[in-house]
Amino acid sequence: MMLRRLIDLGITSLVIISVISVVKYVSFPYFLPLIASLIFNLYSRKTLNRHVLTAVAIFLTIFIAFNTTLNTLVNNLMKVIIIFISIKLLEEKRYRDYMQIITLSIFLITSSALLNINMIFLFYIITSIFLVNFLIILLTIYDNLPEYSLNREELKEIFYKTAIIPIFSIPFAILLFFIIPRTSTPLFDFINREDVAKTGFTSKIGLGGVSTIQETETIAFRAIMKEVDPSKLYWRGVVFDIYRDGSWHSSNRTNRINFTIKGGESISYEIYFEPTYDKYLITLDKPVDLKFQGTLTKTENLEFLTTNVISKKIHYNGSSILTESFLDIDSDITHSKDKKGITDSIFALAKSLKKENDTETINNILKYLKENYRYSLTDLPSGKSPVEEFLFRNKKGNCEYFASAMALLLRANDIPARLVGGFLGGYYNKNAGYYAISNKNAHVWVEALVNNRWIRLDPTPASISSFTQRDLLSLKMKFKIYLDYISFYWTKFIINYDLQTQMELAVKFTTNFKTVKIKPDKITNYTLISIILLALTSFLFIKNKRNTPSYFINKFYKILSEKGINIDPSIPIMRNIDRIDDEKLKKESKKFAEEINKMLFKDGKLEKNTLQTILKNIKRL
Amino acid sequence: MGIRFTKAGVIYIILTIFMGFSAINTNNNLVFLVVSFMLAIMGISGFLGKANIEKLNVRIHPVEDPFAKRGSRFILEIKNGKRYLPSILLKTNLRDREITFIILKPLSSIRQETILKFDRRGRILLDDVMVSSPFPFNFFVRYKKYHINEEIIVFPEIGEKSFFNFNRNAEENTTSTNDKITMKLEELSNIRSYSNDPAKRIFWKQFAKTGELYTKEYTGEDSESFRLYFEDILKLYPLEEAIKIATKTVLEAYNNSIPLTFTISNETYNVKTDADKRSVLKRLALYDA
Repeated sequence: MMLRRLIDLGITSLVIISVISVVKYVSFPYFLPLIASLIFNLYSRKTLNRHVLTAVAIFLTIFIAFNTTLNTLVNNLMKVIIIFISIKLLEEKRYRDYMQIITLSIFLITSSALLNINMIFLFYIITSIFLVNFLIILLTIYDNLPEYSLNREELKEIFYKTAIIPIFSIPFAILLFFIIPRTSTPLFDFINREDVAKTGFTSKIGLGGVSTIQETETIAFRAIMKEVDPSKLYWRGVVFDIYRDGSWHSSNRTNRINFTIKGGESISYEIYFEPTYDKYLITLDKPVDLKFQGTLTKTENLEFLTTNVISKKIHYNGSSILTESFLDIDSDITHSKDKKGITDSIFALAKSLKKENDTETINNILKYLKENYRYSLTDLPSGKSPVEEFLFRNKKGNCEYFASAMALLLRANDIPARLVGGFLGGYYNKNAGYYAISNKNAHVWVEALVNNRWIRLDPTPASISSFTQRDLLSLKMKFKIYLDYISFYWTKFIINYDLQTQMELAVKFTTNFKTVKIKPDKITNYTLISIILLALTSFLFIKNKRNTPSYFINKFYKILSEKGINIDPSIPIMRNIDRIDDEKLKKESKKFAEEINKMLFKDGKLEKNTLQTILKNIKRL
Repeated sequence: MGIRFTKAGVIYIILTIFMGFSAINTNNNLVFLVVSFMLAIMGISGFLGKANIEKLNVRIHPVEDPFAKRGSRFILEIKNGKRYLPSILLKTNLRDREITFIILKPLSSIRQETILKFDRRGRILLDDVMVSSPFPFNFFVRYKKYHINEEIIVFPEIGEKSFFNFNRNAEENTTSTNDKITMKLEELSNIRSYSNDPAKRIFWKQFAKTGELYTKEYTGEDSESFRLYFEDILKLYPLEEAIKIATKTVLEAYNNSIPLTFTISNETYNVKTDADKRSVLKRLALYDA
C-alpha cells in the first residue's frame, strides 16, 4: 500500500478521535469545515493555496480571540485548533505538515483534559498514542523514501514490532507521572473548570429538588472507611433552617458554635468528592473534625463549607461520632422555630397530633406520617403549597415531603426543627474498603431540638435497604457501582494526586526502605504469590527447555547468525556448517555437530557442559 | 555510536517542556499524564532507535573486478543478528555512497548493489561502513560504525593506448572490459631492446624521440604468441602510463582470445584464461605499490 494513503487514513482516524474528545465543548458549525477537509484530504489529490489558507486561519483566530473571556478561554482554544487542523488538511502536505496536524490533534485531546477529568481521557490518550506512534514511523519512512510502497508483510512487521513503544511507554509513563514534581501554587488554576450546572445540594432547595438529584445516576462521593451498620449511615451536607414559599434555605450562620458531640462510635474516614459546583462538604453525621487542604468554614448548623466552589475532584479526611443527637447549648433557634409558611390547616393538624410532652408529640407525628402517607418518587405534589398538597390531598411523596411536613408540624407545636440534606446509606466495596454513594442516595431528614439536643428524626417510610442494597438498583446503576472500583482508583491515584500526596509517598517510600517494615494487604499478598508462582513456572519451563538438544541448536544458530553466516534452520546442521568460510569457526562448529549427533543417535545423554564450552569457544572466535 | 537530533526532535523536546509548564501551571493531572507519556515515548523510542542499528553484520563483496578510476559494482550485505527486533530504515555510507534498506527482519539478511570508485590501483582497505537510521520517529539520527575490514585489490586504470591497433570507434572503447569486440589485428607482437636486428624492424619513431634503439617484433611463423615485456614498456613510458598501457593490452588480448605472454619482473604469465588475466592484472596493480 502506498505510504501516503496509509498516512492519510491514520491522520483521519487521529483527527476523528481528537474531535470526539472535545465534541461537547465546541459548537457544531466548527466541525463542518473539518469534516469537509477530512473528506477532501482522503478523496482529492488537489491542494489549496497555502498563503490564502494561512490568511483565513489568522483572520478566524483574531475573530475568536476578540470574543474570548476567561470562561471561554479553553473552549475558544479548541475552536482555533479545529480551524487550524481543517486548514492544514487542505494544504499540500509534507512530513512537516503531517507532524503539525498530529501535534494539533494531541493539543486538542489535551485541552479536553482541562475541562473534563473523566477516565475516558485515558482511552483517548492511549488510542492516540498507538496511532501517532505508527503514523510517525510511516512518516519517517515517507520522508526518506516518498515513493516507497510497503507490502502487507512489511506493514505487519512494522506495526507489531514497533507497538512495543506505546506498550512499554505505559508503565514508564505511570512511573514518571508519580515522580514529576508538582507545585502547590499553580498559575492558571482557574482554567480547570467546566461550565456546567450544579449537582447535589445547594443552599436553597425547592420541594421536588431532591428528586431531581436522585434522578442522576452518578457517584456523588466515595468514603474510605470500615463497614458500619447501614442504619447509621447518614451523610450530612446542608442544613435548611429557613422555610419560605415552598422552598428551604440555609442560613449559614457562623457566629456561635457551641457543640458537644459524644456518646457513640467514633469513625474516621477519607472522602473522595466529585465536583458539585457548590461549597458544601459531606460528612458522616455527626462530624467532629474535618481536615481539608484549603480554608473551611464550620456553621452553627454543623455544616462545613469551602471558600471556593468545588469545581474539581477533591479529597478530605474526617472523623465523626455515630450518634443520633448532639448537645447544642444556647442554640439560636430564630429560624428553626419560625412559623412562617405554616398554613391554618397544617396548624390544625399539628394541634391534633400534640401530646403531653415534646418527645411524645414527636413520636406521634412520626407515627402519623409513617402510617398515613406513602413513599413515592413519581407524581409528586406541586403547586403553591406543596406541603399542604402532600398532607391533605396527594398523600404520597419522597423524603423531602415527609421531612418538610414533619418540620412544619413540629414548628407548629413550638418544637424547633430544621431539615438536613445529605445522603443515606451507600454501597460498600469490601475489597477496596470504601462506600460508593450515588446521587440516588440523596436524602432529607429532620433535626428537632429537645432539651438542648438536636435529635435526628427520619419520617420517610422508605426502607434503609433501598439506599444500601444493590439488588434494588437499576441494571445500569448496578453496572456502574460494579465498575466504580476502577473509577475510584482513577480518582484516588490519578486525579487527586498532588504535591501533598507526592510528599507523603516519598516519605513513606524512604521510611519503608529504611525500616523494611511492609505490611502487605490481601491484594498485595495475592499479587506477590502470583508473581512468585509465575516466576517459578517460568524458571522450571526454561530449565526444562535447556535440557533439550533444540535449545542448544538454536543457540548455536544464533551465534552463527550473529557472525554473519546465513543459517537455514530447515536444513541439516552439517549443511549449515558447510556454509562457513572461516576454517577455525568451521572446525569448532563441526565439534558441536558431532557432540549433538552423538547425543541424538548414540547414547542419548546430553553433555550440557561440553556443549556449553564449545558454544563459548565458537562465540569467542 | 552517535546521535544527532533533527529539527523535528528539537521541536518535540520544546513541546514536551511546554506541556510540562502547562501541567505545572494548571496543576491538571491529566496534562501531567500527557507529559509523562511524551517523556516515556522519548525514552523508549531512544532505546528502540539504539537497538535498531545494533547487532548488525555488514559485508561487502565485489561483483566484478574493480579497476581504478571507474565505477565497479559491489554487493553490500547486511545481516540483522537480533532475535526479535527488525531493523528499519537503515542507511549505509561507504566511501560516500549511501544505500537505504527499508526493513530487515530479525535474523535475516539483505543485499543491495552499489557502485564504488577508486582513485588508485593497489590494495585498498574498506575498513568501516557507517550505518545510520532516523528510526523510529525521525526525531534523531543514530549512527554506528561497523568494521568490515575487507581488503580488495584495485586493478590499474585502463589506458587509452595498447600495443594492438584495432579498428573500432571511440564509444566502444569506453565500455566494460569484459566485452569482446570484433577487431582487425596488426601483427605487432612486441617491442624489445635492439640486438643486431634488421633495420626495417627498428622502431624509428621511438629512436627519434629517445635516441635509443628498439626492435619491433611481429607475429609470424616463427612465433606462436605475442610477447610483451613490461620492463620494455617502462623504457618508453613513465610507470603509471606503462601500467595503464599494459593493462589495456592484457585486457584486449584476453577479450579477443589472442595468446599473449606477459613478462614482468622476470615472472612470465601466459594470458589464456580469466584466472591468468586476473593474475597479471593483480601483479600490475601491486607493481611498485
